[in-house]
Amino acid sequence: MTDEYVLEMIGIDKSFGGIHALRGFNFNCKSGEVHVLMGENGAGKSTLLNILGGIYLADAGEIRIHGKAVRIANPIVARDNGIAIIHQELSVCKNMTVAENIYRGAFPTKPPFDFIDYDRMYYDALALIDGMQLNLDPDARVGKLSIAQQQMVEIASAISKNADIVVMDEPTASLTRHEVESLFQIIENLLRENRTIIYVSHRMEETFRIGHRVTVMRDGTYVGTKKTSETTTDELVAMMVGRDIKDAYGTRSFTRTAEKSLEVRNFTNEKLKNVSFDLYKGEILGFSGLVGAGRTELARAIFGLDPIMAGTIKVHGKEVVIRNPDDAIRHKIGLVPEDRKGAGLVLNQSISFNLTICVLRSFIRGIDVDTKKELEIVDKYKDILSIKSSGPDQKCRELSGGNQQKVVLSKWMATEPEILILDEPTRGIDVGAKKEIYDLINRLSAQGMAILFISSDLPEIIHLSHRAIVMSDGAIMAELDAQEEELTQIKIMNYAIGREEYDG
Amino acid sequence: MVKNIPTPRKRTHPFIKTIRSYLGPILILLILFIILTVKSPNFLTLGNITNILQQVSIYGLLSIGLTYIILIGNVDLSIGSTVAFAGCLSVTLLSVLNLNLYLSLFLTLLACALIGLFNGACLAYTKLPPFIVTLATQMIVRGMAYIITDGFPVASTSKAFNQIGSGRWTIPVNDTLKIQVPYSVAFLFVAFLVFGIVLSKTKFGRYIYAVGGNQEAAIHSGINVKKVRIVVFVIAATLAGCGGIILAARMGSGQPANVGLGYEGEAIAASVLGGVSFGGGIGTIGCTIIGTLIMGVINNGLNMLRFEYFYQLIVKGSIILFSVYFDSIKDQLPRWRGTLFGKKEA
Repeated sequence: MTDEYVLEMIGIDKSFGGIHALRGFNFNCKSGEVHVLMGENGAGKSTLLNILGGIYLADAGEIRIHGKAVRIANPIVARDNGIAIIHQELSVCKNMTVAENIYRGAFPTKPPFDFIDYDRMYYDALALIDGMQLNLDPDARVGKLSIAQQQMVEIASAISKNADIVVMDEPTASLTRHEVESLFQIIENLLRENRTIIYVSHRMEETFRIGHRVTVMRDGTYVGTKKTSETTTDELVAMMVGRDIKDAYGTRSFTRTAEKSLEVRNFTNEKLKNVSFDLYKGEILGFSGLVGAGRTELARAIFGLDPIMAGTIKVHGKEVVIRNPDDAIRHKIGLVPEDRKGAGLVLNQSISFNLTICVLRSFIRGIDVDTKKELEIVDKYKDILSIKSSGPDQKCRELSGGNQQKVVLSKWMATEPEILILDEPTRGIDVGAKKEIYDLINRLSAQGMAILFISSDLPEIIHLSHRAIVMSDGAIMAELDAQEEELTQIKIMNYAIGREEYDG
Repeated sequence: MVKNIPTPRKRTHPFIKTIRSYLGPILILLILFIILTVKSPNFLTLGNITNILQQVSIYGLLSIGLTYIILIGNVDLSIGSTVAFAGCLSVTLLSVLNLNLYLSLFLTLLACALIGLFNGACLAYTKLPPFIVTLATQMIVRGMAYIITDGFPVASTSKAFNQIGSGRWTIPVNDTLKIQVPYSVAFLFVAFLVFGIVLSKTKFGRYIYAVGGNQEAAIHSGINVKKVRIVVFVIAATLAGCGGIILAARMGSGQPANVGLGYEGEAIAASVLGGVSFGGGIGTIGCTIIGTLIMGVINNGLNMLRFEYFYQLIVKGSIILFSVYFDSIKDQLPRWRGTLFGKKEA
């Protein structure tokens, strides 16, 4: 029985610094099938792919290819075992031609000096492209091609290296509908050659359209494998979200008032489609959706980081124009960004430097630095969030992720905002720090702060939000009220994957 | 979950901390001093020290500007040309067009500020790399210097102007000892003070560190990064203009051709020698002062030791390479040495 599997992964374990990314994960594929891998953000899909691709080494478990146990120690071993991974972020060299990209790393050469044989490369590439029925010119610069065509180049490159197992990580994420069709055509061609496709996707429609079997994972564990012909969207959604409800989110008291803090109307730009919503004083308004649904872009647009093409914004009932973050801060809006290290902190500077960078006005006048006041500010917020450090002069680089996030939160609390946007505030931090941040969010809303809370963690949204908005593809799909018991994982998930109506 | 909580440690006295963070460069300076004092009897004399200070007074001004620029993570190759440009323009305004001294100086500095504005605006509003932009302005500004003077040196006819470069105060301590303080050295001293304070005590100073340390975080914090960048380049170009005026005054003429060549290199070297990180965000004016002194002592000392110019270049390059390498491996030094020299974040 086992012989018929092309790939088997048995009991795969992987942890990063005490956090289990994968636990006892099982997975297998047959030749000539499209096996869809589904799971929420952070379920461990990327870790799994990286283990398969030889980027990470599993802590425990076995990988068998054609029934033979292999140890994929690095990407070259992966390639030699016929595994090719097409990442969501394509890794093409944009300044090279299609042919060069296809044979990158294995250029055909000719004697006597082993110079690259450009002619052979061209004709080999042409033969390959024609064989796969792709519409590409081997001499075209890859940078000039569309994303879909660049993806085809990667697939062709994988095939040129004789890949049996082609892993595609959300390949349709940035493709148009038409391009998706041609991708499916390519996949069908590959299947005819008896290759195996592992297809990672969030999209139900695609899963049922091209998948033969689907494996669902959740929190790094294996939930189950179903034949697509024997399952339904509802069942898969339930598998993806069905987890224990923990009492880890603090106590929610619905402190929402009738006073509007923020009114966003018809926000439109490249990533946003006519987004309108209200945020009330004392409210925690959750924003859910899949990665790339436009939530971060919305936060950036409100905060003046990205321009908007249309739309208006009212703060406390008064229409305002926010052109840059400075305007936003002046209107008492704060943004804790998604990318803590990249956008939240100056890592090589001290805690006190980072904590006070937005409120320098309050203690520096000309060249007169009120050091006492500065320390007062630092101590005040350090204690509220119990930042663990050796002192205010410690460099942020040396802090743990949780403590770094607390510094970012403190930095924004120091500006005494009335509207606080939190973009994935608990991503990648440990459970203890998470709890402290949840408590803080609850406390701040009770004090009357309006909080816009973006999270990809569904239980977080459900247990913290007073109301939640679900976004998909840059637009608001639904608005769910927690008090009216509308907030369930299944509902959110259904709207998040772009289903217009759901009545279950 | 067991977490590694760092134990609170005593806050080091700021003075000790300051000394420790400059210890590497200070040590190099000290070693050079000792070697030169032993090898050359004329080195450690009041006259020679004054001489060194006067020599570094122009590089020092450029180094301040470049320190600011390196701190925001950029580089400026055009300041050498700006030195020549400022010299030519000031002398031309003064001696050819017969303008008033103060007006000429003002107009010259204004023109230099515009060069900085151009550099800064190019970098703030386009994605062009600073190396290329300032390389281009290096040529453009040099060309303008030639055009102003028609390619020939212009002699200054103003005594008052020449005094800027060669004038000095004499402070009698007693009958035999008279300390000479050239105007240019005093000016450098004031500049160090002013720009040191701006960097360490003002909001603008902190903005510079934020922009250089993490531009994205600076933008998120509501800092007008474009403005910071432009102002920094204006400051650097204006300081280069001051240097150019002093140099022209010292030579008594504005020269478009050989003046200021390679000055940007010397100024970058001085900043980096003092410990300003080329990646941006790390360094102080203290670093610049020490770095400038090291460059001055090297230049002067090698002359004293009668090294030929060709060998001087090789020695100078080697010292720069060694000390910057030393700075970069601080973190990997054995613990006691690491503690002594202070760790540095890359």
